[in-house]
Amino acid sequence: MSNIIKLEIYRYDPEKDAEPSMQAFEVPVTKAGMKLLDVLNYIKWHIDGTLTYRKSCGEGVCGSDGLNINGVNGLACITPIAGLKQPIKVRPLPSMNVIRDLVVDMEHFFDQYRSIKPWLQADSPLPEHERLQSPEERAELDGSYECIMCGCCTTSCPSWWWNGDRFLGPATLLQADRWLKDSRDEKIGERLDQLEDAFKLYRCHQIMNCMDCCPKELNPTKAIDHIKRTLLIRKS
Amino acid sequence: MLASIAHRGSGVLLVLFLPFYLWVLHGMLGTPQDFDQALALLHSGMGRLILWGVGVAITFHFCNGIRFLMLDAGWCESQRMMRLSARIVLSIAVASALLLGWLL
Repeated sequence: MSNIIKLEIYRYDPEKDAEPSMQAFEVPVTKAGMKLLDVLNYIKWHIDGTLTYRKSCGEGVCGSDGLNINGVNGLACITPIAGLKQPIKVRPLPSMNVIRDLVVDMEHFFDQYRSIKPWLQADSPLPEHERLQSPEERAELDGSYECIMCGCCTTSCPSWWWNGDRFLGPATLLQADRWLKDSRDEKIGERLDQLEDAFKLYRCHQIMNCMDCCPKELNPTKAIDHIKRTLLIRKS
Repeated sequence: MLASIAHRGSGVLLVLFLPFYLWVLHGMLGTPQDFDQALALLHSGMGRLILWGVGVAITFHFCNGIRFLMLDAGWCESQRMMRLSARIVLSIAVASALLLGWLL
């Protein structure tokens, strides 16, 4: 690997720029095993302080730095530079309104998440200590509770690009399935009623971009299929 | 992603070929002249190309359709199986393209 990392980064400041542009940067390799976030930090701290992007934990837990990296969505903090074709093309998450440079407006994405009521709903009296689950019931949540809501899957979904106003998208539907599977939740009927909609759920056509790009290697397509089957079982 | 796009593409192709099917059907059921005309076209370079395209499209669309139905039913739902099944279906389509190319 050469000692210089070449990048082309999407730049756009709606207050100043008429239209977006790609800006080239060259960054020295400062340590072994550099991640894309290390390179963005180097640019921000040593080359151009106006470069704007989100970051927080830096270890793939907070889900702040979802970006489009060489055409594939992923988290900058856990994407190794080694293996990326250079110049590395870094763009904001697709189909999102850009606030500035690599920062996008996630408001609609989180509104959709809120719409599925992603919290435990139960009317039965609260036990003395807590609502218990058996290890087997808890294991049902594996593969969905790990989602960090970074938005990589939803913004890579063509169905969401076209019908994002109504289709809930893979991340929200993965979480909807997580609450359907939760043995402690008592509102499965209401949750299914809310999901049974030609647009909210059935715009998923199994394109599987969500599964391909998920930084946590989760499978929203599987969760969406599970919701569809649960609805079918309820009807029959 | 590739298997999904190819599924839509092959589906559109099959619909676009409908007028051609009807024309061939008309040729088979019409006058002897119509029959000869349809037969001549099917044996021409363009006719063979159309048959090859329809053959590959229908093979892929059929196999991938079964794959989608399997996923709907909850079979082969792991990430590994989803990817592997896409590769298998694409390989069948390539094999059918070669076989039809050789036969036609």
